[in-house]
Amino acid sequence: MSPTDAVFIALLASRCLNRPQYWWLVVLAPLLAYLIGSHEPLARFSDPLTALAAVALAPRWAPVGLLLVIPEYSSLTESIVAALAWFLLDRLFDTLLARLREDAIFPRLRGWPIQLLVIGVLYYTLLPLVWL
Amino acid sequence: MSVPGHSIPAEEEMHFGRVALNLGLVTEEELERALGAREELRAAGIDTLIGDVMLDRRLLTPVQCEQILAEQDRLLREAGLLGRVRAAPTIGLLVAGMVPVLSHMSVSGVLTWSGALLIGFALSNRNPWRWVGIGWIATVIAPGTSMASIAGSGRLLHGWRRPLGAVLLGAALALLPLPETLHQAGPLFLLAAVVLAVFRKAP
Repeated sequence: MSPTDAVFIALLASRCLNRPQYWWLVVLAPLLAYLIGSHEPLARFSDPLTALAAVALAPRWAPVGLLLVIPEYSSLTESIVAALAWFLLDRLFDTLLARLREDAIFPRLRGWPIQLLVIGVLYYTLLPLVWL
Repeated sequence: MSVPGHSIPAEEEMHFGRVALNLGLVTEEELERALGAREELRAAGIDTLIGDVMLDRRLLTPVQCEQILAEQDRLLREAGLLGRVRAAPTIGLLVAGMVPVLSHMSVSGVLTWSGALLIGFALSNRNPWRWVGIGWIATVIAPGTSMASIAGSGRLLHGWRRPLGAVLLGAALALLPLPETLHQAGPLFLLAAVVLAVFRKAP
């Protein structure tokens, strides 16, 4: 899974779960995944350790952390960018949803369809930045 | 109880436990006990539904549970909230079903992921730590699959229908010869939005 896909699918997964008090700790998941994965002596155990760390950060939001650690981050910069992108997109998504007026949306698109459309549009809007 | 001067019931009147109480299927004391038990489970990291707690403690029968859900659906539909509330587990299924195709899993990887999901739902009780354990065992038996992809998608699902649905969706997306474009998250989200909009019940 590419880091971009992981960020967006984690963004969608976070909408299905109640937000825990320390939800923002999940932002550390990609960094931990990179640090554990790049530590040579832990090679055999890097997968389980990364998964355990992702769950430990926010047990109630475990799927979000786990989805963020699926990609193999190739550098520290990539993991930091993924973490920041997820955090900023989460805030941006909340802001956009708060500004959407229910009565201005076609009835069949209200609720989840509009949320999926917004994430899809954000994906294509931000994809060119990944190519830079 | 309804909001004064309005036909839509107040939000708390639509909660599962409150509906059960209003239908006379449980007492205040039984509801309090069930809520307390759910809080204890949540404190232990097990995210469970109040209906499941009531079923486990034999405060409700499955038939009564269905009756409450039907009444809850009616109240939510009246308030125009049905699509938003009921669809959350479906989104969990969608996210889980997208994981194999986005992870570019091989056929054996998809089989391992599917098997782990189907066995895992019976053993995990939605506990994330157990899901990590199940993922670990699955990757030891069949290496090559990411443990995080099994645990992450499994924890999003509950009941037996949704893991089955996620497995079917995941296998279809990963194994069918779909255009390369559909191996990315963006197009999958847009496609899912269209499918949900088309197949949802008319408001």
